[in-house]
Amino acid sequence: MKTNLFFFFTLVTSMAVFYSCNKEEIETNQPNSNPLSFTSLMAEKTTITINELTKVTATATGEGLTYTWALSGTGSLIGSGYQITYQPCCIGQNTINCIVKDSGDNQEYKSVMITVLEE
Amino acid sequence: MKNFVILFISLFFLKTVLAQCCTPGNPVGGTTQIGILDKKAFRAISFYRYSFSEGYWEGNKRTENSFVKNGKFNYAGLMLDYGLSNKVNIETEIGYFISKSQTYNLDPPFTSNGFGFNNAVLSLKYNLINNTAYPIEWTIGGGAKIPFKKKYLSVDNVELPRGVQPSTHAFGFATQSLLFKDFPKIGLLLILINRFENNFTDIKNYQYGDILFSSLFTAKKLGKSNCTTILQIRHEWRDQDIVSGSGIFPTSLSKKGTRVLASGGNLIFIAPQINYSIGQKWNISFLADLPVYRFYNGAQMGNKFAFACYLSRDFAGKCEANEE
Repeated sequence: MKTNLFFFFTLVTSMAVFYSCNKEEIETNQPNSNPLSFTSLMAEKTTITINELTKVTATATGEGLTYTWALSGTGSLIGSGYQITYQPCCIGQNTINCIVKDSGDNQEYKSVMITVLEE
Repeated sequence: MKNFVILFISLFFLKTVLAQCCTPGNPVGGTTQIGILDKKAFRAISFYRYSFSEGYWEGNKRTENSFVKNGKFNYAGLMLDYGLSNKVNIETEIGYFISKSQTYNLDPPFTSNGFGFNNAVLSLKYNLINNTAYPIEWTIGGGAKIPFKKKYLSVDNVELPRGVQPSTHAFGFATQSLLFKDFPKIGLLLILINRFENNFTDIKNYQYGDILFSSLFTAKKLGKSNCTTILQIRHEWRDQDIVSGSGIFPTSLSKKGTRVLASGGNLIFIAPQINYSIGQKWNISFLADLPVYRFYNGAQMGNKFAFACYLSRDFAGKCEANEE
């Protein structure tokens, strides 16, 4: 009886440990079917005059993507999502930054420079 | 009665409309309700203002801009004024943009919509001349413009255009002068207000241009009623904004940085207004603001019209309490 009891507990413990390890292994090794990939950040025109506009497009793949845009320099960013329109304010060089984030909180960053010239 | 009229004239003056680079207009922060309060008297004013801008102007002529369709804002504010003495008042003003938007001719059409607190203003006023025998008053004042936030507002993860940001994001100062002359025999009041504003540079090295307002008012009481009609002619001069930074191409136009070509100008407005006083305590006022002349540097969106309403309540100070 004591031997059976010992084997039973040994078996249950071993299964528990094995299952636990196995589950962890499955979780960590589970491949992400659609990982984040920020392919490109492209401006329609990288040199414009002060009265021109240019569209900037972020190309990325992944799950539940969000696009965050910021501007280093002057001018305005109009729109939201994967594509915005840049409206210049002054002559100079301006950097448009984009961060793409997926549902797993992974993120990638790219920037593009726009040069604004006088007419 | 004189103070009430001054109060609303001043309120209207300080809520002027500007058309900086692509903006639908900004209520200018400040406290120019210069009618001085008695010691320990207290004044509370709430107001609402709507402004609509459409069409682009270059110099004094209409120009084409197919990108921006229009701009508008809804703004609510509260001003508090307290008499430290019979000669010195302290004032504060806070305001909130319920919405401040620009609509663009994109496909599909897109609207950038900002909201939030405008700069607060904290200032002192000092009464230099107050002659009741020969009714004339001259009050001057000055104070600080204080931003609630220095960081630019982002909506939907996009930093909003400057034209729909709710404040200048920078400290600044404002000085003002009010001179009025009363003609009690004919029930007429003439008022001249001058105000100068300067904004410091914000965290993105952008500085709004200096502003100078000059405004002349005539106010006339309607018979024995509690109504007063007011007509204002206002001139606004705005210097060009300045931007500096590593990416800006330097020009010889400004030592501090590059002048923003499409900013600043000269504007003249006419503003009819009516004020109704209830028991010398409560006041309600309605006004319209109409541009009659404009000269913009570069191409800028022009204000089409604005209207506003104000509600105020005065609480007795030392003199009134003594009289009672």
